[in-house]
Amino acid sequence: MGKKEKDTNATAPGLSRRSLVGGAVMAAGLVAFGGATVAFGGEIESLRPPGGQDADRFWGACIRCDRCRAACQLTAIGVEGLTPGIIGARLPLMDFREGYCDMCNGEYRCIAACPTGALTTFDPYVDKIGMAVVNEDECQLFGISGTCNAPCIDACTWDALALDGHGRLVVDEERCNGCGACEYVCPTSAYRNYDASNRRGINVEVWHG
Amino acid sequence: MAKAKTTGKTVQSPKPSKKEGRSKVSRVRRYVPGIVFALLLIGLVTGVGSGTLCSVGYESIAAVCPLGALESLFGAGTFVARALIILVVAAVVVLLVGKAFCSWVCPIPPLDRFLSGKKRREADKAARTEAAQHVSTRLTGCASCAGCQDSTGGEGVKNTGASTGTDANGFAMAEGSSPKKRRFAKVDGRHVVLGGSLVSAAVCGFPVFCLICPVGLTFATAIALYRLVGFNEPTLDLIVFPLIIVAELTLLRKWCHRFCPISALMALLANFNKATRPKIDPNLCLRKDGTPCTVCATVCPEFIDPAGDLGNRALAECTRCGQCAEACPTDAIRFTKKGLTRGNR
Ligand code: SF4
Ligand code: SF4
Ligand code: SF4
Ligand code: SF4
Ligand code: SF4
Repeated sequence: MGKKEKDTNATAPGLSRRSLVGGAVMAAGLVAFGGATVAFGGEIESLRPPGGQDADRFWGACIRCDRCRAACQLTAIGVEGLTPGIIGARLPLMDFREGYCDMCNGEYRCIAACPTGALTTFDPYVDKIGMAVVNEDECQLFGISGTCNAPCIDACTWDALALDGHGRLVVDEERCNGCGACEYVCPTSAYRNYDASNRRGINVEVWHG
Repeated sequence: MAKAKTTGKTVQSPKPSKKEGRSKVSRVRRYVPGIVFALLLIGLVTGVGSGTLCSVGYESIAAVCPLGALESLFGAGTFVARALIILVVAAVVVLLVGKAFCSWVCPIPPLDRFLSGKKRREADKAARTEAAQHVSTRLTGCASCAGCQDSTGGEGVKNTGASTGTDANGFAMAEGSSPKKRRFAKVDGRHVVLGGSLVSAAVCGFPVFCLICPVGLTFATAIALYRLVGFNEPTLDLIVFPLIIVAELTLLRKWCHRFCPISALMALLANFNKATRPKIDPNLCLRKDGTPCTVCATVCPEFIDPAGDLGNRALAECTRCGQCAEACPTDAIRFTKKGLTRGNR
């Protein structure tokens, strides 16, 4: 408290020096903090909105402004929480439980909204948000009683899903661009039953090309 | 949210009976940050997608926090035409209205007032009064007081005092009529933090300051709350983000004056703003006939002396809060040339 008393003395000649020292401490703290978050844990791998696949560019440019999330009319974009590490806090990520990406029929509202160039152009025939991966434990086509009418196959507008000769779901990795429509419609774990695996029969995973 | 009405108590001017045409700027302003915040929240929830103060706009037309844009250029290490264009627009805005963002838009000052106790508000008031006493000393040029020389050393006040337009009696008079040498805003801790923000972005490869920016975190908290209610998405963010903000505003006292790199960036450009700075009508200001009036300097939360720029901080730091204009007993302070009496425009 004694310190506070002194602080009120804003006119003291020492103030500017103290202010400089305080600033320097914070500036050094920023570098140390940034360095530490990169060193421990590093960049968090999550599915990023279309055009955010170049990790260096995305991480370097994104200012966590929330515009892309707000721009998505299908609520496909969510917010990264603190839990995986503070470095990723507030970054946008794809959340295919709440919505999926229809590429805005080519309009890409998220990319248009991004003010920093963290999201750049996206070609759905070349680039991939991620890759759909069938989870054989969860997909009901793989159970003994294959009861699913496979809404994922109908949902995929990119013709990337099909049944093989044994009635099992397969993904065409060429065609899939990770739009998430399949994961979104998959009825498994649909009601957020956290005690189960919380995985769906088909999930879009990070893709490294 | 914005408990802006608390400011009312800090104005301790001799309240004259309300005159016609007296500046209402200050009173209107108090509600503006709250309104802006509320509007942005509505945009956020309804999916209009207006954005946050980090970047706000409609679809692809958006303003962006100039610090964020710079960090992003440093972080990505690439030339992003869009960020650059937006930076230029932000710079033009600051050139036009100075640091008005700080008292008209930023949610931090109202939050800070909300968090500060009575004791701190009184301490702030005492600090303002003391700063005004220094103005008074500089005005009257008290020879016996060594404090003046000391406290102004290195701040450039002394030599501005000399170059300030002085009237026949030798009393300092600001702006308005006489051309005067520009007094630049002091480089202080904020600028060091600004440097640190850019260096850390370049070194670490991502905008580090954005992670702890109280302005961004205020919105992040609101977004986390919205995700909790709207998407049943409980997160740690809801506890940690407010804690960071509270720590910054209470442990690091005077965040705005001592640390905020956004303010530092705006102050650099605001040095070149003149159009909307407070202007003194020399026909009305009491200093014209030697009264060492410091009412305006006493109320200014930025430690500025609007009437003669003899304050501890330069006029470039003005946030256009309007409190000086409201407090002035002769209504001599205007923000545009139009308001000045004939012949002084
Ligand atoms: S392209 Fe459109 S649908 Fe897809 S994530 Fe972006 S805003 Fe949402
Ligand atoms: S709009 Fe761009 S800068 Fe803003 S959060 Fe999304 S990716 Fe990041
Ligand atoms: S398989 Fe799934 S993620 Fe891949 S394109 Fe089809 S619907 Fe989209
Ligand atoms: S100094 Fe920074 S935190 Fe304070 S009002 Fe200005 S922009 Fe906001
Ligand atoms: S000079 Fe001070 S009191 Fe007057 S408008 Fe500027 S910041 Fe407010």
